[in-house]
Amino acid sequence: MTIIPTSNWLNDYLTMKNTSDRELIPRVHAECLCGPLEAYFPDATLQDIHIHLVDHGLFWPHPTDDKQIETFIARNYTSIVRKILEKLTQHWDGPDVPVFIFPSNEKNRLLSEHFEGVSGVSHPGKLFFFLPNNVSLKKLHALVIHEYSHICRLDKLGKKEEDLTLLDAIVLEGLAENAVRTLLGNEYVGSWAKHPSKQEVELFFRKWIKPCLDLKKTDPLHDQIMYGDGHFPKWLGYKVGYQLIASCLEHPELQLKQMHSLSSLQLLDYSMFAS
Amino acid sequence: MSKYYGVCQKHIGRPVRIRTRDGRVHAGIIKRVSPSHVFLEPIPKGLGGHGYGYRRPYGYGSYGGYGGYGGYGGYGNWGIALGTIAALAFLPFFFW
Repeated sequence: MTIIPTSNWLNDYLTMKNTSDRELIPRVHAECLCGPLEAYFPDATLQDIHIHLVDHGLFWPHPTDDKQIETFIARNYTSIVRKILEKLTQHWDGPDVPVFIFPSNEKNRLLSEHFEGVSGVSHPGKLFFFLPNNVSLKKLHALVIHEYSHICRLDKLGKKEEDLTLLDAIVLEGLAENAVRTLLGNEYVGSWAKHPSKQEVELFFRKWIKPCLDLKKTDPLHDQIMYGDGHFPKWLGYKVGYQLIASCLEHPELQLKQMHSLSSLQLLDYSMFAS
Repeated sequence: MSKYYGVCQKHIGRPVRIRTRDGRVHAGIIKRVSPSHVFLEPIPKGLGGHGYGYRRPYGYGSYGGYGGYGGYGGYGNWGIALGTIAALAFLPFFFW
């Protein structure tokens, strides 16, 4: 597994921010940490990459973040993440992709209250992790399983990102948190993915998801449903996905590895939401 | 002083696209101009990707303030040295 070292980039950030005007620090942050990533996002500007990673949990620069970053570098998460990924690669017969590990935004309340400060984002062919300095080993496992499940599913699905539908996204998230449940245990499933009532999730599906299964990610409604903005229940898409795949796994003949290769419609047909 | 100082000063609040001499493109709303830099509030463009359930909260229909976010007010716009600007174009308000 190819883990790209980020410590030099983080050290560059620490050096440069201490010699830069305070108001230029966000730009310095972007140059040091996202400049080396431009080759991995050929169609995006440096600004786009920076906003994208910050939106998914990358720490936001601050005049007093030196200690956090130095501790993060000293923690050296590389070897433990590599070990987990190597096991998963074998388990799922998954691809080797470049992996980047950065400090997470420890000051963000949403991130610390609901996610224990960890986050990540997967794209076909690249994977980013955002970690706080005090992450528990189990939580780190849960995050890596979740995101690497995305890499395997995207690889097997073979669709371009712009062609993915809401159903694809729901299935993708359901596969990821059910992988956490299967490999680690129910207590490590993210609280955002669980919902106390199966019946209510079924109702959510019929009311909001079923009419929108073909929605593309470029449609603002797609992410409103996934994350549960406005009048939608919080993390609606994640909750429905979790139940959808959990119900597929009740079929004894289905296993996650094999499910990575089935189409989202096939999985829907196996699920409790099949019509 | 760069010719872009006056241009940017006159158009604070307007969305622009700036190309710098290193070939990079920067887009955003002009928030402030100093004698050496122009500061943009970036306009987000989705890059897709699949997260862990976390997504930084947005304001309604807008980016919610790149700088004000997290309580670091006045600290976070995208600075571009005026001397590095190769081209500047104004964008229509509705382009994003």
